[in-house]
Amino acid sequence: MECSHNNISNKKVKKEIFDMTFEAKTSVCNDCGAHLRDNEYEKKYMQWLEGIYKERRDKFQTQCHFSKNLVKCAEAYLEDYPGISPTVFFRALVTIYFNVVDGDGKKSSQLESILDAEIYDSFIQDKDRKKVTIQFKPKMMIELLAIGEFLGESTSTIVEEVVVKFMTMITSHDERLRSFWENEIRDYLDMFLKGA
Amino acid sequence: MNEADLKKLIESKEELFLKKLKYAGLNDLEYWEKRPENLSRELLVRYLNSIDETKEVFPDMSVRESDGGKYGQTGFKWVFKLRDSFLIMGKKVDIYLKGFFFEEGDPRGIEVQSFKKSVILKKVK
Repeated sequence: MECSHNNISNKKVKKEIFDMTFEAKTSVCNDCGAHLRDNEYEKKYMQWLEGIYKERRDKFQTQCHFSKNLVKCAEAYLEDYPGISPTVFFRALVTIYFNVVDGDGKKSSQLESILDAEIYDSFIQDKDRKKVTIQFKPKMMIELLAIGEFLGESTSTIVEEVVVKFMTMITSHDERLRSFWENEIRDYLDMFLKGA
Repeated sequence: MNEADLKKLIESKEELFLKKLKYAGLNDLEYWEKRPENLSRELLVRYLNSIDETKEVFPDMSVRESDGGKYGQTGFKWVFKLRDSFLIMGKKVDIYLKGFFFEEGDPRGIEVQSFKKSVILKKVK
């Protein structure tokens, strides 16, 4: 039987994140234990996260390990964007993926179907790897955590997968991938990097 | 979308349900989160953002039984129950959503009572 949350009271609830505890008062269903995440709760939660972000940047960083060849390809690509580091570039790719590609069924399916498996696998299987630390803003970080929790993966695994997908697109000579990059992604990336 | 356009959209008999759900939910969302059975609010917002507003889906509608909570008295009197899907990292996720629009005099948001992975039972022959 589904609960309709009829029997509610205002209580303090705790949320564990980044090995820290966020506390706020909100409506709690006395029958099933669900708590209400409304706009007021979200405002307090985001304010708390912004405070943590100011003091503990390390909580918003992911330690990734990329193929050294992939990092070299990124550096070569960034010659057209002076002053932009690979970490900023990778952050841009992840943000664009989750805001432009993954939320759009057509784009997401198209990308999955045209990915160049040979290049993708070469980046994934390369044993010569470099540690790269990527920092995200609170909103993106909690989305990554939610996606990671759902898929049973760490945030770094998710970030690595997205970056490898996009770097496959950038380095491939496949016309469909080039066209996908130019038509669907390039403008967003330019906009993001101009503001970085 | 401004307040007046949103009100017009939610009250319209011609507009598609998913379009109403998307814009109302992204404007004002009240979500009853119960972990781990239900999915997080972050994923619910991702689902709402990903809705193809031209897609036609007909949810099950029934009279709302509960009248407690902030919009218990002023929310729409019917509850929608919907099965749909969206993509996470390119993987299709089937979901089930139950809730209602609010408020009757000033339609602008949704209260979601349940948002979880949908399990489709297969018939045993």
